[in-house]
Amino acid sequence: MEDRDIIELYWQRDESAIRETQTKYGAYCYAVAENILNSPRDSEECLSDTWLRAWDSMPPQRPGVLRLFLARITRNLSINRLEALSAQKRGPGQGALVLEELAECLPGSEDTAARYEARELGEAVRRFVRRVPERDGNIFVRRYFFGDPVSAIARRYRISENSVMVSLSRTRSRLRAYLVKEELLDE
Amino acid sequence: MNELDLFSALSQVDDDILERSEQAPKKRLWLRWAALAAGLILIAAAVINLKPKPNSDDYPFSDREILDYVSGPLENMTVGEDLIILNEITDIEAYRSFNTFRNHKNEPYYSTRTTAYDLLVSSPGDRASQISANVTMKNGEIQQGSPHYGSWLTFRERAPQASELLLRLLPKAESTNTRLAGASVRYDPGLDAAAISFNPEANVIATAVVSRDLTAIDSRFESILPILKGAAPSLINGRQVRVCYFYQTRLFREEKTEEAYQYYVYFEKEGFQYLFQFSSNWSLVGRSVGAMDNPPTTIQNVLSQDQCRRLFAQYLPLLTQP
Repeated sequence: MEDRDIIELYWQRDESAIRETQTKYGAYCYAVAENILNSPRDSEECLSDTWLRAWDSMPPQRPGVLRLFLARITRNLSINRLEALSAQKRGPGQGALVLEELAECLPGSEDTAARYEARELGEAVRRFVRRVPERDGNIFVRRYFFGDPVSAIARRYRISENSVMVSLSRTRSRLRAYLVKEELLDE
Repeated sequence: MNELDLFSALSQVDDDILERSEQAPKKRLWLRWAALAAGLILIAAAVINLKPKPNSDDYPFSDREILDYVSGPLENMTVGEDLIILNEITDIEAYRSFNTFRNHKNEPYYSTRTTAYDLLVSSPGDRASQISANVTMKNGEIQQGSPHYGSWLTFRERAPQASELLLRLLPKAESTNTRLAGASVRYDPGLDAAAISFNPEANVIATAVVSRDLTAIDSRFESILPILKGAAPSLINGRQVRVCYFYQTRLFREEKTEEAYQYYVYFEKEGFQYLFQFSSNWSLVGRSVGAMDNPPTTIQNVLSQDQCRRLFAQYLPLLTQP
């Protein structure tokens, strides 16, 4: 079924919309959750929540790219769950590694105050990714949006794992400099 | 901000970038054509950019970009048995002179979100002597495992009024926010002024500054304090407070798209001045969603302004709790 037809089912409040979504994007969203959580049970639960959240969101929303809309929901739910898991000191896999890497973008001794809106940070990151050269941007997004392992990124773009890691390191440095320039981080 | 916030922030990467990352890499033969095409596109883009644009294509606006200040009358509200008089701030110039981001002047870039906290943090004091900490709360307790827990204890000792205020307010944030409730605190011994900052909801900001003399922190307080002190008072828990607000909208291509309120509560207690600021999230006018991109077809769920105001009201009794 075409995406626009699935979205139409949501708008008609037809519950088969969820079934069609599961069929078409279940595996895709599961991969997003599993990359972050590395826990089949938690990933399954995130998926169930994703379908409910999609049902609650459409209408009023009419996403441009349905799979990415769903991926965002799954990702956000997975991050919430990752936070809860981290608080319980249950160490998940790729998500924890990704967080460790992203911590390099932040000052070591002191967090920036919580006075900034989450969305302001999101907008800055969104603008930043648009400025990054395409190849580096793709690698960055695969790693830190989709949570792909370094090996999978290397396979996807037919480059060495070392090249992936060098690219990620370079982009993290750029991100840190950008956040400082935007006054979201202290120097 | 921590690494989880950064990881979450990446959810706002644009669809076209995500789609691009999903495509298979181009073969080298294509690269030549792509380079040629890119060159042509650059030339075309440069030509197009020569034409003046009526407005930026970036959407939504950053908080530091130009906004519109307009009147947005609100009715008074009742909290428990107390009637809260909501005083609208109408002196835009005075408000702007207070509400300016750090070293920026009013025009053309100014922030709507500058808070007393920011003014304290950016004050030209002795930074080395300032005490700052980021803490998280769980089950009503500041978590001891936090790397800044030692600084928090010092803050509690040096700034008891501000830390007690935080301990009254943060449990409320913990109960409404699904994430861990985090807060930033700052104390400047030279100014004997303390500030706290936390998020009652993901995109809602609450700050408070406590000092014997707020104007000593920054002269910009001189712009807002007369307005606050001159406002019609309300009684909460038997204490006189002044509650004021400022309404703001964002314009995009001459259409009002998003709105937000800044609420202020000012009171004095035992020789200290307290200024609490509650910044609602931006939302599409009259709706509980915010725009995410341009065109604003992708939206995110946020609180409506009525919901934000109800949330703000829940903090009022806590501010003046004996």
